[in-house]
Amino acid sequence: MARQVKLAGKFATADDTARALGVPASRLDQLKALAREMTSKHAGKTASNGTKPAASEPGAKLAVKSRTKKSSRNAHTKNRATATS
Amino acid sequence: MPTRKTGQRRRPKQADDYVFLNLPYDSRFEPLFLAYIAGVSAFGLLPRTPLEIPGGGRRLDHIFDLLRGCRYSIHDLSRVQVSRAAPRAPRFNMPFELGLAVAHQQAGGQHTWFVFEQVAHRLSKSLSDLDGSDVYLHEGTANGILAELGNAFVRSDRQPTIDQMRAIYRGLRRAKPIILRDAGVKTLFAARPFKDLSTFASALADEVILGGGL
Repeated sequence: MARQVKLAGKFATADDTARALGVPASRLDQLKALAREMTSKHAGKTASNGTKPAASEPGAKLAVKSRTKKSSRNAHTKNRATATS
Repeated sequence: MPTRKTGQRRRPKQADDYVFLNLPYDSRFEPLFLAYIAGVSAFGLLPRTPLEIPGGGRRLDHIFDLLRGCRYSIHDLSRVQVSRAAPRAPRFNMPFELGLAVAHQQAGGQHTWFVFEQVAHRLSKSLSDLDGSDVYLHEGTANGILAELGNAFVRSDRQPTIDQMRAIYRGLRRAKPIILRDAGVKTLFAARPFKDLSTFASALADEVILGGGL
């Protein structure tokens, strides 16, 4: 098993990161607001349907593909049903 | 008072939460680049890369200073192939910077380096000097990188879950067009998008890990 390093130091916050990288305070505020907006949207989405959103990488792409296939298959069946009826 | 010899470089101040990321910069690597930033930030660490280094001066000196200022370094050796474009050549930057990190540690620097790879057992062929060293295998996926970062680091107080790390990663992917647009560039592999991405990843970590989201 690979070695694991125990981190004991302070948790670097967005303020620490911006300070270290020289990101201006106005930009930091914009990025913080965007992060808050994204996480609150995510929380809303989770609360509304009671489930976590599907992971986007990499399985979700496949899931979308298979859903599309299934729906087009259904549409085809529906069309055939309409045609025969 | 001791005097420094001419040409001797001053040791930069080291920060315990800095992680030097030694990664390939190509478009196919972009999802993995985002995963490294997301994962490192989820652990409350601060990513540093040579992308921050401005032009001018001797680049190698700046890279070594940046590396010595970091308590940890991560070296992704998954791009060892010969490039397609002419003149065809392998990229030596990643193994070279790993060599700098090893030398820095061997010379008594308080530094811990990690080697990440995509393919099992390849390192023993491409860089057999590292036989016996731990290698973190990510199999070329973002999830693999997040999982391996969880194997490399452990935090006693706020250990991020894999779901929290994935949430930060997804946030970075969603913010990518905004960050590129605001920086007026087409690639993430430049100073300004990197700084924005790192700050944004930290802001997401503040919400998700410190704020107890997810």
